[in-house]
Amino acid sequence: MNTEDVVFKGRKDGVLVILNDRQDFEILKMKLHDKLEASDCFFKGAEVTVDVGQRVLTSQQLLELERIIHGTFGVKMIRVVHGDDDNLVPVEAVAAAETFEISPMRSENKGKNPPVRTILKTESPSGFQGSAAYFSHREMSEEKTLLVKRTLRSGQRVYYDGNVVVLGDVNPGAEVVASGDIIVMGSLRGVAHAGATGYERAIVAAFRLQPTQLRIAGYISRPPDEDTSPPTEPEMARVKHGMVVIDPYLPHGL
Amino acid sequence: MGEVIVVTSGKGGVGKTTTTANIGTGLAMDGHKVVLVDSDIGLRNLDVVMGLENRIVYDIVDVVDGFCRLKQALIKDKRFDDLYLLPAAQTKDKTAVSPEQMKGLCEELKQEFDYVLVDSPAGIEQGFRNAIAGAEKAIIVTTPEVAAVRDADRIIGLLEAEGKEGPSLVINRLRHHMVKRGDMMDIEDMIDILAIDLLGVIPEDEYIVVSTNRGEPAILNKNSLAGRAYRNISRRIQGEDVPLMPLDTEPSLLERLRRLMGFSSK
Repeated sequence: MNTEDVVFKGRKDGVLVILNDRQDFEILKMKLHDKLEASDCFFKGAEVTVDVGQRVLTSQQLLELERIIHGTFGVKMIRVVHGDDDNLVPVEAVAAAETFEISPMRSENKGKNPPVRTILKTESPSGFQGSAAYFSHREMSEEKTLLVKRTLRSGQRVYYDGNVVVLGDVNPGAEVVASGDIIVMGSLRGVAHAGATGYERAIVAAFRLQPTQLRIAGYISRPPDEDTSPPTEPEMARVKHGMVVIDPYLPHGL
Repeated sequence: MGEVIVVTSGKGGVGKTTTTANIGTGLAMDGHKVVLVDSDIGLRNLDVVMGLENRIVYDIVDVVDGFCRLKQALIKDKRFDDLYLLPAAQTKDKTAVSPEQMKGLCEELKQEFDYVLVDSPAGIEQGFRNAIAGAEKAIIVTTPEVAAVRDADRIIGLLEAEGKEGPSLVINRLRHHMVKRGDMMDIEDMIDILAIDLLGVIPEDEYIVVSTNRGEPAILNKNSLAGRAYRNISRRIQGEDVPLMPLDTEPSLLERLRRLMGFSSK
């Protein structure tokens, strides 16, 4: 095992910075800082790819990395990836947030109450793009899937350009944003945004689907205000006729 | 031009968020235009207590970072048309907003609202600095416990140092029978130490737990003792002279019966 927490590697397409995913993030930040400082401006102006291993970065952490690498040392952070030997899977997180395009969004949700549980209140303000701009606009490739092997707790966020599968729960206050589908092998109680680049055929499925808010492409929906009975079976949400609709999950019903 | 009031305490868990939600709702009940600002970035709760969590799309950090306009982040209350919430971000921390940005935000909000209530986080660090930055007045919440009063005193000192004019005090979760037994600090003890104006006393009320879990402020329930005390406080903020609610009588059997049946003598 590599004992170095921060490793610089030269590659064809530039410099790869590998961050040990088992090390505490705060310590990593310090080590990264020290290492860049020790390099004495060697990397200034260079373009680096940062490999965070299997670590799931919060948007805050990503911004902090950006701040150190780009802000402090003037090194261009062009990509952040989940490394798996030679297979680098891009993590496209909130660093691109500067390009977040916002269009008018009513803060109140108007409209009739749809039947309990089958349909969520849906609102699709004209031109709402949600987190679309976090990712580049292109069709998501189907094979890219991020496996999150833990429960996402309040305040934790996962952004991924591809599909996301969570082996655990997504608690209230946690957020999963994916350009593809989102599958939660547990209870989805937080916010999920599937098809965040505008892919309206994206689905959100969960073992127990009881989200605070569900977003698919440009559609935002939330459960009705009346108390609803908790789900007792796996369910799947998708956009049908301009509404986010929840159906029981049927393995052959896709 | 409205006024900006910060609700703060120093100590956690004394009821800042509950107080903000209830006073804000009370002011809106009387027809004022009110906005509640949650400045507890990273540990937001006000949205949950107001029952508005599932409506959040943008938050205060999105606003100060310019990702969205202020109006887009304001969430309209379910019950009152003139009551709004500006939610905190949950995935960032206190440093995501600076006191200067907060000041600017409060300036902007008070152009449009009669009351801007800022719910402060616990502590005296940046979150607290942010919360008080744009405020003209402060409401200090404390419970009748030595530790809470100690922290309140510290906060009052910090507010004075910032040149904020006379803060007022809300004493929360007072249990009259314990005070009578001498097991709890009484109102005079606290006023004696803190030496600020008393805005109101909220009696201990189990209904608060129910109301915060349901996302319906207790002030909406006429049968809730705490709700009634909050109602009085919101009237006092509007300049009305409302006497302190008598706390020395446990509700009589008759009163309890009346409440059970939905009638109230008050």
